Amino acid sequence: MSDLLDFARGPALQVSVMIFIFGVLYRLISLFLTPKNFIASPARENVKGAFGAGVGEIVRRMIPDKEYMRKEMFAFLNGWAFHIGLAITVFGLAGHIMFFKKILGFGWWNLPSNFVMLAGVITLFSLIASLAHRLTDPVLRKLSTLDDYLSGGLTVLPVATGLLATMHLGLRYETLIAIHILSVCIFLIYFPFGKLMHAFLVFVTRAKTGVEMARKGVKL
Amino acid sequence: MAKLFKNMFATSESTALTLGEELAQKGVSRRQILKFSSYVAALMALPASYSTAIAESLSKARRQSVIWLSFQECTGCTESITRSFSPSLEDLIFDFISLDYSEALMNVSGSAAEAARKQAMEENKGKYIVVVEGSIPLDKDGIYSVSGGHTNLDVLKEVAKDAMAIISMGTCASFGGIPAAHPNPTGAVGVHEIIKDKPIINVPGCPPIPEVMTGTIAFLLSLGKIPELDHLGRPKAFYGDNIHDRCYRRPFYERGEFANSFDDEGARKGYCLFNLGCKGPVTYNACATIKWNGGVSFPIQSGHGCLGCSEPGFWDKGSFYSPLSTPTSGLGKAAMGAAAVGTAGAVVASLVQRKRRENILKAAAVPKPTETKLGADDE
Amino acid sequence: MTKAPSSCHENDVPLTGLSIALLPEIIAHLQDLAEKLKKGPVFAQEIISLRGLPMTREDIEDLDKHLGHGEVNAKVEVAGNSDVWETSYSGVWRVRHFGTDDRILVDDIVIAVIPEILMAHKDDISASVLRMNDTILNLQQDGIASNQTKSLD
Repeated sequence: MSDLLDFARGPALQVSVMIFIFGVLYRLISLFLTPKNFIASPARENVKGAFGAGVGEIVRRMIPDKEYMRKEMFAFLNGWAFHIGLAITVFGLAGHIMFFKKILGFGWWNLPSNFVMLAGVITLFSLIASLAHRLTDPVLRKLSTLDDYLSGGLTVLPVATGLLATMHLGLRYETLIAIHILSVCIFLIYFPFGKLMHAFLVFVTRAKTGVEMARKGVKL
Repeated sequence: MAKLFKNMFATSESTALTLGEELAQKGVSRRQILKFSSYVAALMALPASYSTAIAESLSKARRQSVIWLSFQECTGCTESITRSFSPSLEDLIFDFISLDYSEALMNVSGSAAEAARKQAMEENKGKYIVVVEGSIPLDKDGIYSVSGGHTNLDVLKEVAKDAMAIISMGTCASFGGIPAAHPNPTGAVGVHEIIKDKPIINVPGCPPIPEVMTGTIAFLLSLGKIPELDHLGRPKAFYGDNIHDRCYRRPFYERGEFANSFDDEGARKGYCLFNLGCKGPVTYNACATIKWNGGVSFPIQSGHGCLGCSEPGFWDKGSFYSPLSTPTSGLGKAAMGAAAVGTAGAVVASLVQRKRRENILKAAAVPKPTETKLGADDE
Repeated sequence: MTKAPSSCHENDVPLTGLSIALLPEIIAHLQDLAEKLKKGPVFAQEIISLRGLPMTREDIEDLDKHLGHGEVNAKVEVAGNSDVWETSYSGVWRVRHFGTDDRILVDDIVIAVIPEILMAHKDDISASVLRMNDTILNLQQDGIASNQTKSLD
């Protein structure tokens, strides 16, 4: 057992989980406590209920608009593959569940390790593909900021190192798992302060957009 | 046991003979030495053709003087090695060495024992092997462990000075072991932290596997050199693989089949013990292959996870039962604290912001906005 | 070290194919030995240690099936038993050392005219000369002694 692993399982995880929880709660709570907007314009006539508008927008954004279907096909499929793969990897592996159990106090059934490994490989490749797409698509490239690359890169690291650790490739297992845990620590520390926060906010912001759009302009 | 004593404390006049001659007198044939040698070769994963060479050099060698020092320890390592055999091949090792000093096993005591040690050191200057069992306390000049008026620290330095090599037997001598566990009240350390100028072989384990101890000594005797060691000074032949890689329960790990308590369905079916805190994946030892008690079983086979006893600091790595993928300690309180601070911070910041906004609105004398019909406008 | 040599997957032990893979190595050593012996009698032995290979119990049984049993069967009784037998291929031997508790300590294939463990060592032979000499002397003395007693009668 290397000292690196002790550091990773001890102080590194402790500090990064603290920063993660602090950051996420700080951002979420202060966002919800923000005073109501001053809206001078009157609402459109016969506006749907806010709830319906919000949920509608969330559902609508799960698949691309017909008009952009062909252009957005890659981002659509790749995005779904990546997110499902990541969810399986993070929440399906026995070792990960033990981690959550320690923090949350409860666990759940794990999936076969080989299946999780397959999901991990898919996740890794689709993550890399999305980064490549971001770099090669001229419009996307202009839109991208350092935050986008950091968010992507910091997600690649834990997936890649986790795969190496489960496959026992390259270094000794204790070094691999230490590096894996440390990469998760960096991910956790950055999470609340960049676009990774979308994991918590994605449905909130989409609903908000839906509600706003619903009351704006005139009915066609 | 009687045979053991007879063998170990062999009379000193016989040291003039070669081992071959001496053993022949005792009726130990060359075939027996050859059999032992092929056993050692197999144990150490040496090329099988080495066995002839080992047998030859063993027969030509003199009895090797060994001084066994006991420091802060439980004598479990001695127990392990002396109980290793039904009188068989392994105990031949005691025909090859002359155990000149061992507090646990020798007949004499007091100044006579110390005299035996001094005599052995004098007669075999630069040629004797020192086996150390137990850690050495450094605090308060080592006063925590004293024998015959001398601290362990002084004895170790004195004996190590003219030694050929040192074998740190067990985790205490290798890495400090249990006496060095937090808060390490005696300032215990392993041998390699004190002796820097002699070859040291670490044979950790709590206790080490008997075959690993005999194998290491036999290698040193027969080939006259230190076996290949890993980065922690352990013979690679025994500590080269981790338990997890050699574990017969490994396929369950791959399939994601785990025991989640010691008496659940998974435990009864012999599933992988990772979730019960098994340290096999980060522990390097030969338990999964050589096994214990003459190859009968080893902890995982008996249904308990590996404690990692051959690794430095295994006693201070959090609970034996917390899985490797979990934080070692204190996360619950830390998480609660972070949550409290995060919430409080957000509330305070929002209140400040609201106050500021009200002030700005007041200063601009804008009438307070009427609530729009859409209640969901706020985020 | 159960009776299944070097198997760590006791629950499912399929054939790994190692038994077949070993045969070319054995024949290479056998050919070498044959060449050496053409030049005159020499002692040479090559050892393949099966315990050093990741072979399952089934692998070793399979290998022994291929090698078969030859004309020689020997038992060495020294610090536990040792079984030595020639396979159906002359010059290819199997040497299996047991501990006193009957577990397998060493499991070798030996390619030689005769495995070293069966040969008497020169030092042991020298010791035997002395020992036999002693025996003869003792016998003679006994003889003299008994003759003397007789004559006293």
